[in-house]
Amino acid sequence: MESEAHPMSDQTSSAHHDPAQMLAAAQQASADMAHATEFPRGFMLCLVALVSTGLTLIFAVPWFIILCIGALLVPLGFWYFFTTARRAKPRTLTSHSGPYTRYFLLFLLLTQCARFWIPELWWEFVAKWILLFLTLWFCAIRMRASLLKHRLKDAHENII
Amino acid sequence: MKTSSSQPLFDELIHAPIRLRLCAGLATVQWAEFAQLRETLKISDSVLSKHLKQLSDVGYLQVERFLKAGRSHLRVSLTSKGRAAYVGHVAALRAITGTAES
Repeated sequence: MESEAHPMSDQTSSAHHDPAQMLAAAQQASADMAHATEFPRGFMLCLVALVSTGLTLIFAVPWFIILCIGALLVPLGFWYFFTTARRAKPRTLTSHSGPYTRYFLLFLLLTQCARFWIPELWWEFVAKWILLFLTLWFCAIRMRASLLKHRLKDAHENII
Repeated sequence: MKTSSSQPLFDELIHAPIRLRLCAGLATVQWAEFAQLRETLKISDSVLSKHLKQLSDVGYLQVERFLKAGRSHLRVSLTSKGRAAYVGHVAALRAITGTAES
């Protein structure tokens, strides 16, 4: 392993810094920045709740109500825009990780399958909403975790 | 993930704690504003400016000034040379500590 010295190095010698601690500090700093640039959890929660509500009521209530629920995406969009405007711009990933793609496909599959269950009784509406919300939230959380892990790996290993 | 990994290369300039955290934070983003870096690293303006200057002087960072809502802001990003040096330094730290790459 070679060593590269710079004339503007800190006055404190690098030998005083424990490599394991420095590596941990670097990983923590990357994780903090990556978390700061991701979707806020509250935003994800609202989005999943909205999608679950829309999919629970689809085909069971008039389309006007579905459109009204869909209109709630507009304030969510503003929330996302104003939140991300004050954040650093995340690095573009050239590819997504395998787990991310799997959970994304599962998310899509669940939304499509939900259309085949049309509830009629009130408890069926409640059961469908809870089931959809829990499964979609699980997928969303796993997608977020996979994306963060992939971004950290990219930050520490990809020189391009 | 398809990566282009760098050879382990210990970099004295990057190894200083604040500069290492600065590079680590910038490695995950395309760019970050001065205020965002200051909040993430929890350091003062003068300390951050000093380290930004040291890293930009050797070509590891690119510092751009831009206008947003009529106010001047600083945008900082890692250059390709800086990214290569940071990735090489992380690889060197992993080699020293014996941490296997996941």
